[in-house]
Amino acid sequence: MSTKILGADGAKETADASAVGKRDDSASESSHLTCKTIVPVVGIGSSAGGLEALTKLLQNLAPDTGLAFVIIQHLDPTHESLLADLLARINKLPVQQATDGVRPEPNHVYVVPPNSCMTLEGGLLRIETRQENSRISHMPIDHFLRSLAHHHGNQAVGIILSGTGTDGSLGIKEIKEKGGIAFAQEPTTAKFSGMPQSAISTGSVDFVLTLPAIAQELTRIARHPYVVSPPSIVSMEDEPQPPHPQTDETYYTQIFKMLRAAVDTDFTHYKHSTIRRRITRRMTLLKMDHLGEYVSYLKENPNELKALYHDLLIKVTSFFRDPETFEELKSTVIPRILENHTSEKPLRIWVPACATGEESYSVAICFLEYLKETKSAATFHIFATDVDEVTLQQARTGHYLENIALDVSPERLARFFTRVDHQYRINKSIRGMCTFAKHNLAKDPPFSNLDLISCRNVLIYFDPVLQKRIIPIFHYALKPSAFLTLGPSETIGSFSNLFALVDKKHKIYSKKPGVAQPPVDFIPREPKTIETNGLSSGILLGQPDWKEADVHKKAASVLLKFAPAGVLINEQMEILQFHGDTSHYLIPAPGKASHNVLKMARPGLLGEIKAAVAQATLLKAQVHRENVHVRCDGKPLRVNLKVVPIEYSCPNHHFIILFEEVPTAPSSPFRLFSFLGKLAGLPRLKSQMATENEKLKAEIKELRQELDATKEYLQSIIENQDATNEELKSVNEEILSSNEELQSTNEELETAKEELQSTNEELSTVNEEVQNRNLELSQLNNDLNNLFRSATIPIIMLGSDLRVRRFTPIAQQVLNILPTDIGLPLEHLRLHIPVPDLQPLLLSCIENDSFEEREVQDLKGHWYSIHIRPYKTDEHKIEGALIFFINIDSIKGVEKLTRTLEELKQARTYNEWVVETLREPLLILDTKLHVISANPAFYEKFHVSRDATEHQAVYNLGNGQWNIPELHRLLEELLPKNKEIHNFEVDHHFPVLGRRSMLLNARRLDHQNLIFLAIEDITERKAAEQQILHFNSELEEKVARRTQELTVSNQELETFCYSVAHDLRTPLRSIVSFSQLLEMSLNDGLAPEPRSYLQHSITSAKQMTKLIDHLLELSRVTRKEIRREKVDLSSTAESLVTVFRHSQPDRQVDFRIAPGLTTEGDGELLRIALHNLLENAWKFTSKVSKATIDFGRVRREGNDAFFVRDNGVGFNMAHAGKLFGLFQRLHEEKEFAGSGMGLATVQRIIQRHGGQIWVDAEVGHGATFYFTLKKD
Amino acid sequence: MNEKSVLLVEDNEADVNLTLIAFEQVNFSHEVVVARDGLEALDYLMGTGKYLGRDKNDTPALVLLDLKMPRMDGFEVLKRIKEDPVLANILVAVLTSSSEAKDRTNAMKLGADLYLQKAVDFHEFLNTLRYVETLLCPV
Repeated sequence: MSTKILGADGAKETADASAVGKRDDSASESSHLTCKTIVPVVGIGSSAGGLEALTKLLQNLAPDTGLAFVIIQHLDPTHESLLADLLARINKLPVQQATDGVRPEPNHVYVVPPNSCMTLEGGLLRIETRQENSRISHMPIDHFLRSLAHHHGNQAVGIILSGTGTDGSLGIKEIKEKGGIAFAQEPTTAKFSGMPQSAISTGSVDFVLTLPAIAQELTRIARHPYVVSPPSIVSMEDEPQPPHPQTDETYYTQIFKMLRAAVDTDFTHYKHSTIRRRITRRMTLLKMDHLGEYVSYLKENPNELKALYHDLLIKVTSFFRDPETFEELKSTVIPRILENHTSEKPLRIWVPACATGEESYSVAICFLEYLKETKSAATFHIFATDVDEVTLQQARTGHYLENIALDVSPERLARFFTRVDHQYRINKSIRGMCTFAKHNLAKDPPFSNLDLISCRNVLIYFDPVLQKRIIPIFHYALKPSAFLTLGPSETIGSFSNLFALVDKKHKIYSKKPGVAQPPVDFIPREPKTIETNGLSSGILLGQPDWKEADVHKKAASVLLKFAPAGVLINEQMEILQFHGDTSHYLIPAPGKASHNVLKMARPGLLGEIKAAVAQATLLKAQVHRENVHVRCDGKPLRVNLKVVPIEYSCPNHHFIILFEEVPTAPSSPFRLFSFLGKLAGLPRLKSQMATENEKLKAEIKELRQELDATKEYLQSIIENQDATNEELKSVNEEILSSNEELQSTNEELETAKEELQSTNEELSTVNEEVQNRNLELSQLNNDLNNLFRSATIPIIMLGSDLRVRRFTPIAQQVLNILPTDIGLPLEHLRLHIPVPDLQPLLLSCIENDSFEEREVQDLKGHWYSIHIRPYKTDEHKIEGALIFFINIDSIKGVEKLTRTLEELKQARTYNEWVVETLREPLLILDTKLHVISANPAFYEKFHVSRDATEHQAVYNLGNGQWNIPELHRLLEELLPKNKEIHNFEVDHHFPVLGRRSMLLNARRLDHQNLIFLAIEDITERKAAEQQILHFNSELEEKVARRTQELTVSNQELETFCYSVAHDLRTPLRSIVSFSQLLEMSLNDGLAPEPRSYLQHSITSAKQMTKLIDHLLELSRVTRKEIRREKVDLSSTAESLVTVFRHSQPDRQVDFRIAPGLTTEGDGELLRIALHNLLENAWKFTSKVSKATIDFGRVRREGNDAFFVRDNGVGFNMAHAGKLFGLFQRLHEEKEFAGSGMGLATVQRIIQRHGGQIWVDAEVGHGATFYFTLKKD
Repeated sequence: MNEKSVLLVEDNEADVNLTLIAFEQVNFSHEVVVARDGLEALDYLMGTGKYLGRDKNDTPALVLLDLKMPRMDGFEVLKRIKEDPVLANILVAVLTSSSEAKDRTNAMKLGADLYLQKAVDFHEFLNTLRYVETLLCPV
C-alpha cells in the first residue's frame, strides 16, 4: 500500500474514522507539500440582511485574531459591489474584494466579488465567473465552505448569518465533518432566519450565538491550539505517530473502553491521529485543555459520549463524489457485471459505511440509468450499511437539502427526486431498491454472493490491522469475478492474490477466481457485559441507570422460582446464562463454539424455541409449548417449554427459556390415544405385518407428531406474518391519512405561494424602482466622484461630528490626509496646512449656517484661503461642513508685485524728487562716462544747459572744464575698484567760477550700469572752517593767558594767606606778649583802671589772632582737595570730647555718643566740622546745670543724617536763616565767645561733601544740628 | 650752666627779645646763641663766615629755628643741617608762628625733631619753653 501524504497546504484529512466510512477525495488533489503555515480561514456566509449582520460581527471582532475572513454574500450579479468599502469603515481590519489567486492573510477580510464563484484551492482563493449554468440555484456559500472544509479541515471555521433559503447548510455540515468549527447566528436575532435555521437543522452547528458572542468566541477559538496547529498529515498506513505521553495513552484507552461499553463500537483500530483530533475538537468546544479533564467529563455526562461517538463517525459524503469514478462505473463496471449475470435473480450490491445514503443512491442511479439506456430487464438490490443508526435513519427517509443541486445534475434531480419545500426526496422507485441496515464492518459477518462492493474512503480511517482484516472479508463476500471499488487513496495493499486491478485511477478491482479462500475469521464478539470495572460496566446510551448485572440478578430470581432447567438468552438468541441441567435439551454444536441457543438446541426443539421466542417477543408475555418431542441421544423425550420475556425497557429483549421434561407415563397425549384407538378398530392383518405395522405406526405417530409441531410452528409464523401485515395495513392507513393531510397542507401552501407570487410581483416593482433610484444614485455618485477627482482644490467633507467623510484626491498630497483617515475626527489629523482655531470655526459655521474664510500659510510658506461652508442636505439641514483650501499664492504674488510696483513708483518719484530738490549738483553717468542726466542744481551751479550736458562725455562738459586729472583718476582708477567713493576732494580752477574746492561722492550701480556722481562745492565751507579754526586758536590763547593769570593770582592769594598767617600773627603776638610782660612787670604797681586797659588790648589782640586763624581755616577748607576715605565719626567725636573736658575739667557735661557711626568723607575736614558743632554745643550748654550733648544718627528721606543735639540755650528759629552766614552771631560776645565763622565753616565742609545741614531749635530748649553726607 | 649752647635762629627782633626773656623766666640752663638769619646760623654751625674758626664739632644742644627769614629760610637751614654728617645729630626744633599744616609736614619731612608754634599768649609760650628745657635735661 503506498503512502499518500495529504498536503499541508490545506488538504486536511480530518481522518475521523468510523465504520461509517465516507469518501474523501482531497487526498488525491493535494499531494504537494508546502511549508507555509496555514492561516485559519473563517468563511462567513450571508444573504438578505447580511450587511447589518456583517457590520455587527466585524464591529465586535478583535483586530488581531490571526484569522483570515472570507465573506460570501449573495450579491446582485449585475452591479459592482460596494460591500468591501462599506465594511472597510467598520474597524481596522483591512477589507478587500477578493481577486483570483490571492492567499488569505491573517487579520484580513476578503469579500466575494459579484457574479462569481469563489473557492479555496491550494491555500489560494480562486474566483470563477459565475455562469448561467446548469445548477438550479446558485449556492456560492456551500460552494466556498465545502472547498474550505476540504482544504483547511480543522482550521476551517464556517459562520452562517442572516439570509433566506438554505445556502450554507451543506458547507457547514462538511466543515463540521472535516473537523472544523461551525457557527450560526441565533435565528431570532437574524433579520432573516432561513439560512441559520437550515444550518442548525443539519445538526452540524457547534455554536448558535448572537453576533457579538460569535465574535468573542472566534477570538477565543483563534487562540486555541486545535485551530492554530496546522492540520496533521494523514497517511494510509505507517503514519508516524507523535509520541504521546503515557498518561494520554491511558486516557485514550479509557475513552475507547467507555465507547465500547456504551455503543458497542471499538475504535481501537481506527486511525489514532484522527481520533485524537476529534477528541481535541470536542475539548475545544467544551473549553477544556486537558485530556484528563475531558475523561472525567465523559464519565459524568453520557450525552457527551454520544456526541463524541457522532463526531467520531465521519459523515463526509455527497452525491456523485468523484463523478469520474461514477462514469467509469457506468461505462465499464456495470456492463461487465451484466455480462456475467445470467440468472433472473437481482444483482446484489453492497455499500458499506453508507452514512446518510448519498453514495448508495448514487450507485442506484447509475445502475438505473444504465439499465434504462440498455433497455435491460435486469434488477438489482443494494445493501447499504452503517454502524450509526442515526445516519441510517436519515438515509432511509431519503430527504436531502436542495443544496445537493450542486452535485446532482438537473436531469437527475428531475428524474430521481421530488422537490418538497427546500428539500429533495429520493423517489420511491430508488428507495425501494436500497436496504439500509446496521452493520459493523469490523466485526459483523458480511453479505455474500455480491456483484459489487463500493467501499470508498472507508479504509483510510482504519489502521492497518483493521484494513488487513477487511479486504479478505470483501473477497469472501463477492461472487467470482465480481467488483470492488475503493477510494482514490485506498488500495488492497498486499492482497494482490485476492484482487486484480481493473482501473488503477479509479481504484476498481475484480475478484480473482479460483484462489483458495482464506478461512474467514470473524472477530469473536468481545464480551461486553462481563467487565467489572466501573468504567465500562454496561453503560448504555440513553439508559444510564440500566445495568445488565441487574438482569442477571432478576433472571436468577425468576429461575429460582421455576426451578426447572433453563437458559437466559438475548434477542440474538445468544445464551447468556445456563441454569440447571440443560444437557437434555441443549448440546454444544459441532464446529465453532457457539452459545446460540438455536445452534445448541437438540433436534425437535429448534423450531419450537424459535416460534416461542418470536411469539413471546410479539405478545410480550409468557409462551408455553407442551409435549414437544425432543431427541436426546436417540431417545425421544417430551418436554414442556416456557419462554418468559424479561421486562426491562432496554433496547434488547431478554428471555428465559425453561425446559420441563414430561414423564413418559401412560398419561400420554390425548391425540395419540385416539389415533391408536382408530388403528385398533381396523381389521387385523397378519401378525407379522402387525408387528411391522406397530413399528411403522409408532414411527408414523412420531412423524405425525413432529409434523403437527411443524404445522403449529408454521401457523405461528403465519399468524406472526398476519399480525405484521395488519400492522403494515394500519401503518399504511396512517400514511394515507397523513398523505391527505399533506395534500391539504399542500393546497394551503399553493394559496400561500400565490400570495407570495403577488407579493413578489409587488416587490419586483419596488425593486425596479429601487434599481432606477440606484442608477440615479450611481450616476450622481459618479458625477460627484468625477467632480471630486478632478477638483484641483483640496476639499474636505466633514460630518456633523467633525469626522472626515470624504476628500478630494489632491487633498491627500496637500494636506497629508489618507484614505484610512476617513471616519476619524478632523482634530486627530495633522494637516499640512495648519488652520488656527479650526475646530471653533467649523462649529460656528455648523451652528450659525455661516461662511467662514481665513487666509493661512502652510509649513512651506504657501498661502491658502480657507473657505468653510456648511454641508446642507436637501431639507436644508446642516449635517457637517466643507473645507476648501484654495491656494492663493498667485494672488498673493500679484498683490505683492503690485505693491512692489507701487512702492517702486513711489520710491522713484521720491528719488526723482530728492534728486530734483537736492541742492547739490548731481550727475548720472553711464559706464562710458557719458552724462545720462543731471539735476537742476548742476545746471545752475555750473551755468550750463540741459542740452549741452546730456549725452555728453563728462570730460567734455562746459568746454572741457571737467577734464581734470583727479576726476580721471576717480572715475577710471578708483571707482572700478570700489563700489563707492566718499569725499574725494578736488581743487580746480573753473573758467567761469574761479578756483573751487569740490568734494566728489561717486557710487557705482552695477546692475543698472550707472554711476552717480554728486558734486559738493566746499569752497565757501572751507573758507568758513579756516576762519573758525583761527578764532578757536585765538580763544585758546586767551584762555591760557587768563588761566595763567588766575594761577598767578591764586598763588598770590596763597602767599597772601601765608603771609597773613605769619606776618599778621607776629606783631599781634608781640602786642599780646609784651602787654602781658608789662602787666607782669608792673604787677601790683598798676592801678585797676590802667590794668583793665592793658587787659582789653591783650584780649583784642588775642581775638584778632583767633579771627585770623578762623579765616585761614575757612580759606583752607574751601581750597582743600577732598579726599574720600572711611571715617569713624564716633571715635572722632570721642577724641574731641576728651579735648573739651580737658580744657574745662570743672564742667559736668553728659556726652552721649552713639557707637559705630562711620561714613565716607575727608577725615580732616569732617573733624573740623564735628569740632565746630561739638564746640558750639559745649559752649551753649555752659549755662545749663545739667548739660547733655548727643551725637547720633537718624534716617531722613532715605539718607543717613547725623545730628548733634544739646539742651543749651537754643535760639529763635526765626533767625535760623542767618545762622550759617559769615560773621553771624545770635548771641552777645560777652555771653558766648566766638568768631561767627564756625557754622559757616561747617556748612562749607558739608556742602563740599555734597551734603546738607539744617537746624532745629527753640529758645531755652537747646538746638539740634543735622547734616547728611552724600556717599561716594 | 650747661656746657652746651642752644642756637636760636630768628630774624624778628621782638621775637628774639621775647624768647630770650622767656628763657630767662623759665631759668633756662643753656647759653643761647642768636643767629639773625639762616646763613648766619649755618656760619655758626659750620664755623664759617663771621664764625670762621669756630669748632664745627662743638655742636649746640638744640637749634630753635624760625621758618620765615630773609636770605635763607628755615627749611633750607634744616635741610643743610640734616644733610651734614656732623650736624645731622643736632636736635632741631622748628619755632614758628605758622599754623599751616603744610609747613609742619614739610618740616617733619626734612628731619625736624620738634615743631613748636609760637603761642600768642606769653604764658603759653613759657610753657612751651619749659617743655623744651625738660627735653634737654637728661634726668
